[in-house]
Amino acid sequence: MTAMTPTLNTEPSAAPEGELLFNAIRDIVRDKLAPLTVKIDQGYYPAEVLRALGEAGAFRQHLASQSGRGEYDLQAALKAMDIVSQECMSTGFMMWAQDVVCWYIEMSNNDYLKQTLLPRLASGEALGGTALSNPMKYLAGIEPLLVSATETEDGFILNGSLPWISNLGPDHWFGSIFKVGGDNPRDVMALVNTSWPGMELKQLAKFCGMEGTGTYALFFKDVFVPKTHLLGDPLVPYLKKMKAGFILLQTGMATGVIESCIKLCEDVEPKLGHVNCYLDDRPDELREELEDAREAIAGLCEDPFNQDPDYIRTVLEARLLGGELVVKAANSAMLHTGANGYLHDAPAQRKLREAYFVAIVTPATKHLRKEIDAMAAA
Amino acid sequence: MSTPRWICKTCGWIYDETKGDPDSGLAPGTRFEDIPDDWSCPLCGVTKADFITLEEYAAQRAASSGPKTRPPRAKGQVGGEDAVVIIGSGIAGWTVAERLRERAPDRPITLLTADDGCVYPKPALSMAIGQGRSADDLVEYSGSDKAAELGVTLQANTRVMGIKPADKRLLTSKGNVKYGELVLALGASQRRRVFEGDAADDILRVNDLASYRRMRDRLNEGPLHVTLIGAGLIGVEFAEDLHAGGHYVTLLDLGEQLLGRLAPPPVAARLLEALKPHGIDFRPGVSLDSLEHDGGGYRATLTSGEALHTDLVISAMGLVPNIDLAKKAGLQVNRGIHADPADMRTSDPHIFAVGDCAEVDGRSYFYIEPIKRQAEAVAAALCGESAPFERKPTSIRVKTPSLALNLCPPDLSVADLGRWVLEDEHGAACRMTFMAQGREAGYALSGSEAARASELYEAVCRDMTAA
Repeated sequence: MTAMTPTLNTEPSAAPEGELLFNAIRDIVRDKLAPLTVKIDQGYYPAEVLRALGEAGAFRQHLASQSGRGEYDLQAALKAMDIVSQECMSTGFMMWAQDVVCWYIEMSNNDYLKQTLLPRLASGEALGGTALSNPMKYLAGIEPLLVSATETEDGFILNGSLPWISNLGPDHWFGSIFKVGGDNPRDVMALVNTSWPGMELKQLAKFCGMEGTGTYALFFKDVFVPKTHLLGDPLVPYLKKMKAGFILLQTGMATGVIESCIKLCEDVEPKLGHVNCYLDDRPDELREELEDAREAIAGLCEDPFNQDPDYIRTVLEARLLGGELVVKAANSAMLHTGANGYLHDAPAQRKLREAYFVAIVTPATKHLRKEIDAMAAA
Repeated sequence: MSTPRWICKTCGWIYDETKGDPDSGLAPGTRFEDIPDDWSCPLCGVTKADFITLEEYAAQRAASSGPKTRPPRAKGQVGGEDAVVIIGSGIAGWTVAERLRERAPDRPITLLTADDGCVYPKPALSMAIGQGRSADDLVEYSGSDKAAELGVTLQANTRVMGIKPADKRLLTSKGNVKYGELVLALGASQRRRVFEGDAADDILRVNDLASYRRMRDRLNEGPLHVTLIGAGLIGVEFAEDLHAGGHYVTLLDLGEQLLGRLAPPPVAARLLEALKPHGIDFRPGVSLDSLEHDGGGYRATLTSGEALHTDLVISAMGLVPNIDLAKKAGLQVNRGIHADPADMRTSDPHIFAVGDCAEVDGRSYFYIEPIKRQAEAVAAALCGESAPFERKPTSIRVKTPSLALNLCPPDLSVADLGRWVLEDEHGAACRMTFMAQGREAGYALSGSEAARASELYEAVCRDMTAA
C-alpha cells in the first residue's frame, strides 16, 4: 500500500500503475530479459533491460515526486522487482540499486538533484548504484568508514576506496558516505558520478554468479564533489528517514526467487511427487511461508517513515526472514529437481547461488542478527 | 568469607547467618538449621526447603556444561500441530514448561525466544552488584541445558513477528511455526519516552539479562555518576545497588516522593532519610529533558532547566506489558493481554497469556510468586485440569538494604475508597495500614516494623476474602 507525500514539487505525468505496469514488466521479462538470463549470470550487463524497465515505470513507483500519484508506493516497486527476480535475480538486484539511488535523492532536501537528476534516474535514462555496504557496516560497528574527505568552501575532496559496488559503469551515479576531517569533523553523504576526475573503477574479483551486475571496486583519488550534490548533512537524521525504505526495497529480490523456487518444485511434482513427498520444505509449505512473509512486508510498506524502534526492528526482521526463507527455498528447489537442477545452466543451481547472495549482501543475515540483538539490549 | 550462606533456588536471595533476617524476626547469628520450618524467603515466599548452600549452588552450575554465550541451534522439530508452543524464556515461559512437563511427560513442547534462553533469577538484577555477582554469575542454566533437562525443543535467537490465530501458526524471523496450543510469555518493557538531545539513544533501559549485561559493562569503566529516571521500585533498588558498587546516583522523579503510589508519604520519607547518608541525590518533581554528549560523558538537562554532568543514564519509569503481538493478532488487550483467571486463557481458546504481559481483571502481576501460580493455571488447563489463578494482594519486599521495607499496596479497586492510617512509629520504624470500607486493604512497613509483614499479609488476605 502507500503513504501520502507531504508536499509535491513537480507534477510529472502519472506512471503506469497496477496490472498495467506489471503486465508491461512481464512482457519485458519474456521478450528482453529471459533470453539473456544465463549470459547475465556469467557477466553480461543488461543496460537495455534496465532502461526498458525504467521506461515502463518500474523505478518511480516508490517516489512520490515522480510517480505522478504523490504516493510512496513501495509495494509496487517491490512487486516489479519480484516479477523480474523470478526470472533473473541479478537484474532484480540492479533494480534495487536503481530504486535506492533514486530513494537517496527523494529523501534528501536537495531540490537541485530532485529537479535535474532524479527524473533521469527514475526513468532509467541514467543508471546508478547504492554503495552503502561499507557505511552500513560502519554504522553497525562492523568495519571503519573507507572514504575520507577534506572540506572546501563549495565541496569536498574525497580519497579512499570501496570494494564491490554494483550497478556501475561509466557515467553512473552512486551515493557515498565519507568521513570529513578538519574544523568540523563529521560524516556526510553525497551523490557522486563514476566519470568524475579522480574516479576509477576496477573489476578485480570474479564471483561464482551474478557476474553481470556491473560490480566494481571504486577508487577515489582527490575526487571533487560539489556541495550541490549533498544528500545528507547532518547525516544521521537523513539515514534514519530513509533506512526502512532502503531495507524494505531489498525484499523483492527474496520473494521473487522464493516464488520461482516454489514453481521449480511444483513443475516436477507430476513426475517426482511420489518420491519428493519424502523431502522437507515442500512447495505447499513454502508457499504458505512466502505468502505470510509478503503479507508482513506489505504491512510494513504502509508506514516507511515510522522511526519507532519496534517498527525498525520488525523491518530488519522482515529482511532477515527474506534471507532465511530464500536459502531454504533454493535448497528445496535443488533437492526437488534433483540431477536436472544440477546441470550447468539449470535454473535451480543458479537460484541457489542467487539465494546465498540475498543472505550475504549487506545487510547480511549475520549483520541483521547483530543489529537486532543490539536493539533488544537497548 | 567462611560465613555460611544459603541461596534461594527460586529468586537468588541469600541468607547470611551473620546478618540473619531481622525483618522476619531472625536475629543476626541465627544458624540456618535453627530457622523454623514455617519461615519463608522474604523475597519470593518459598520455604526453607528451597534453599541450598552457595557451594552447592556453584557446584550445580559448574556441572551444567553448556556454553554461557549463545547456544547452538536447537535440534528437533520446532512446533507442530500437536505441540504446545511457548513464546518467551523469562521466568513465566520456563515455569510453564516446567509445570507442563511435570503433568505431561510426553507432550511436545517448543519454546521460542528472542534471546539465548538462559535461565536467571530476574529479581537479582537489582541486587547483584551488592552481592558481588556479575551478569554471567546470574546464569543458572544455559537455554540448551534447561531445554534438554525438560525435553523441550528450544528455538533460540528467534523473534516472533506475527500470530495467525485462525491458522494456528506463527510467523518468525526463521520461517513459520505451527502450534496446537500457544502460550504468550512475552514479558514487559521499561516504558519508553522520547528525550531530546544527540545522546538520547544512549539511555539504557534494563529489564532482562542482555540489557543488564550492557549496563554492567558500562559500570565496569569505574566509579560513575549515574542518573536514574524514575524513583519507583526499580529506581530505588537500582540506586541502592549502584551505591553499593561505589557509584554516585542522582534519582529523578516527576512525583514528589520515592516509590510513588506504592508507599504512603511517611514511609517514603523514611526511605529518603535512609538513602541520604549514601549521597543518593533525589530530585523530586523533575525528570530528564535532554541528553547531549559532553566530553566522555553527558550533559543532562532536566525539566527544571538545571543541567548536570553524568556518565550514564538509566530509565526506570515503570513496566509496560508487551502486547503488540497479541494486539496485531486481534486478541483482546487492555494495558496487558486479557486473560481469564480460571485458566489464563486469552480471548482465543488456543492461546494463553502468563506473566508480565498478562492482565487479569484489569491488573498485571509483575512479581514472581503470582507469575508462578499463573504458570500452574496454564499447565493445568493445557492438560484439561483446573487450577484457577487466585488473585491475592501483592506483597513486596523492597530490596533496599538501607531500610527494610515491606509493602502491600491496596488493590486499585479500593485505592480511592480508603486512606492510610498511621498505626505506630518510632525512628525509622513505621507501620501504616490502608483502611477501606472498614477493612485492612494494605500496609506499608519500615524498619523493625517490617518484620510484621507476614502477620499483616494474612490479615489483608483474610479481609479480602471476607469482602
